[in-house]
Amino acid sequence: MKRVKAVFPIFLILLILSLFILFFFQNSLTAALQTITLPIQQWVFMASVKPTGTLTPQQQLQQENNQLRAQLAQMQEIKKDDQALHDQFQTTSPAPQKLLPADVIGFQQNSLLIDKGAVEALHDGDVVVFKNNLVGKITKVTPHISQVTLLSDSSTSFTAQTAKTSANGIVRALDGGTIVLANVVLSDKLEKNDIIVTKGDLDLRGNGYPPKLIVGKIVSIDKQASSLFQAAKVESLVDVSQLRMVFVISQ
Amino acid sequence: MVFFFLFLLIVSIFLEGTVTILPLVLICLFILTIFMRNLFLFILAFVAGMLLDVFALRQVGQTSIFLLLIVFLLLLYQRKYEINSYPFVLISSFVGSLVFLLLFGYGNVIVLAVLSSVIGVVLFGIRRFFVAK
Repeated sequence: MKRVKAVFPIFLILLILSLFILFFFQNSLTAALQTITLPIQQWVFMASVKPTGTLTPQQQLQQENNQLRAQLAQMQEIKKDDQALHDQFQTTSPAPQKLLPADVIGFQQNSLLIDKGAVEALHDGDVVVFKNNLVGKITKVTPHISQVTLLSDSSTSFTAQTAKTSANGIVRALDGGTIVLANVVLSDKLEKNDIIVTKGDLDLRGNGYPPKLIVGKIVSIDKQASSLFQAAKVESLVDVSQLRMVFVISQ
Repeated sequence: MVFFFLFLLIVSIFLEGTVTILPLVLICLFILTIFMRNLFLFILAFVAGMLLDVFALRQVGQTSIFLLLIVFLLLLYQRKYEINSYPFVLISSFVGSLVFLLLFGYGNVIVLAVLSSVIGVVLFGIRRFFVAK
């Protein structure tokens, strides 16, 4: 009983202190602690992920293949743009975007942590890319660190289209983290290995996904005559767990 | 041996904040509480919780509250139950991890909780082995 009596005041003091911090010192304490812990967190992450130099020949080939697919998708987009130019003698130039490089400092279930935050003017909803591949969207911003929710998160939902056949659909993630291109009408054509790109859903303020970012490639198609829509399983061209640097498209 | 577990706790804080979602800090704290049973554990729970919140971008303070409650409950019930035993470590680390994972919104909670309880039992076994020697 004596021990319980001795334990209780300490527990109560620290509990009240935690509550006090939780409700009154959130931002200032987070900023101060992040300044100290960010380099350590960065170092631990770098030490724990496999360096890119140790890729097996098969992985190197896969990486090269993915790069070529990305280039092919880009070429198809350029071809389409060129065609549009010839047809209409006009083109729309996308709004200038600012790319901010950020180091990955943490990898959690369906999210990444990057070393840039509110101090670097990042906002909730900023899109994160690697080369021209879509990685995810910023969902939480603190002074020095931001959380990037990956496409494999169940909250993912945006319009996209296939690069080759221009079939429109909605990119979603299932509970297990599988990315699918759903709600594609049966009359549209889906092809295996076709690249999926964002259709673009920017609003007037510049929030949302910019067009023509690569989401991934189609690995399997689910088409049933009795269904209203068809769907395709999509695989990202980027191995997110190996990413060390990403780029944020700031608004 | 206590220093080894303290070192393990520090490593767990960084690992949990960067590359894993397993509640390693909670497990280390469980084992430390079972063996140490003193007030220093509250300081450890408080600091570890703060650091975890900063790393995982949670509201700073909420993990501390959870860890403080866990340590308090373990110390409170150490007389009522035999906490220095395998069944207790297995069940309490499973339940503790399950509640932690559910509270902080992780997925695959059952698998992760089972894995955590296995890690807990292994660490507990290591400690017992070295103490017996």
